[in-house]
Amino acid sequence: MTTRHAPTADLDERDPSGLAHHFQDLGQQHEANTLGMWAFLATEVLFFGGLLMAYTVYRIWYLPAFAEVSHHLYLWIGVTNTAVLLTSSFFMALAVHAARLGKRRQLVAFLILTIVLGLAFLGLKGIEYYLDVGEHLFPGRIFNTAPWEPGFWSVDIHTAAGREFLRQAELFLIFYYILTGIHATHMVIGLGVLLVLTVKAAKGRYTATYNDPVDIAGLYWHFVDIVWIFLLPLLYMVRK
Amino acid sequence: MSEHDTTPHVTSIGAYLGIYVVLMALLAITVTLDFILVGALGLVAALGIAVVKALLVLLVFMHLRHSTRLTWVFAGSAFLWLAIMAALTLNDYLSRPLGPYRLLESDRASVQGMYTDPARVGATGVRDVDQAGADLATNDPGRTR
Repeated sequence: MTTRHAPTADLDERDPSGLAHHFQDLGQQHEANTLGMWAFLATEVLFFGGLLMAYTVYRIWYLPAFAEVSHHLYLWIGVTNTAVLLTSSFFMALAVHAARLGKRRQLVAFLILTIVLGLAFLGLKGIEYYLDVGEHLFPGRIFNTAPWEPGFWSVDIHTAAGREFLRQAELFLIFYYILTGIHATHMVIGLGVLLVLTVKAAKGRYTATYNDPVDIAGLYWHFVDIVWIFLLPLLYMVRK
Repeated sequence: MSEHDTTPHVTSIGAYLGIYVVLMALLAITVTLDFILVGALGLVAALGIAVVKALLVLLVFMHLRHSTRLTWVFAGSAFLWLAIMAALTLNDYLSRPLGPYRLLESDRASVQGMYTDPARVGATGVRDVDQAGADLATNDPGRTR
């Protein structure tokens, strides 16, 4: 029979190598950590996938209205934000690289760059929301009581067909805010994680042999990047 | 080599930089094509490029290329289930008249009769199904496959 160890007071207590007591070695721990994150990301794929599926069905039905509202979004902000997020992902990859080589100063520097670009994304997104709302492109009362300029919409909005067109356009905006809003929420969570990692990295908690938290956070950050890669063409580039 | 010798593979910085440059170039191509291509072709091109970008991020930035087979199964399962959802959903919606309220021509007469039945009009408030259909059809893609 194997010896049973008495439970320690702190379940998260690790020996100096970073190995948790319920793993045999660091390799096994790394594999379990990676798989756990991928299992979570699989649920995330289906979470966003379900939303995008609903979006797809309505886009097929309401293509003319969807295409017209999409034209009113700020394409240049969406594109700039894609570049910002891709660059952020690049720095995250370099952070993981530095962590695996045990280079503490580089790791901290790249994590900070990743965070700064993540904040830049959220800042631009905030400006974009502000501009959209200023043009009454926000579902609900703001949209339904908007004094639309003549010619803003390609249809006469005072007919029954025009009202139906506006209803469909409003539905696109609901998808736009829910999809980008949930994506932004993921970014905020990711930034919180990265902030904790930066502090711990600065304290020298990660070494060339133990850096799984950086690795795992990187997987999450890159996933959020991938979601945006699909949101850009799906939301900003709807063409008839 | 022990069973759990999964020392992370270290990709060179040059590889990361190369992938980053390719990703930015693909973004530029996406934007350029958006102004050139229209319709279904534009959508296919934009989504095709998005898939390539996602694969580059998955394989290189997320190290799938050097991950264990089990990790591939976990990652692949997500997209397998996504494909099942998309295939079954679109199989339904694309194989019948498009739009939530469109009537088949063959059903029109009977439905019109249903709505003009005084006992039913009170419940639905719709008196002329053809007019309601015409209002919707104005903005309907109008493609009944």
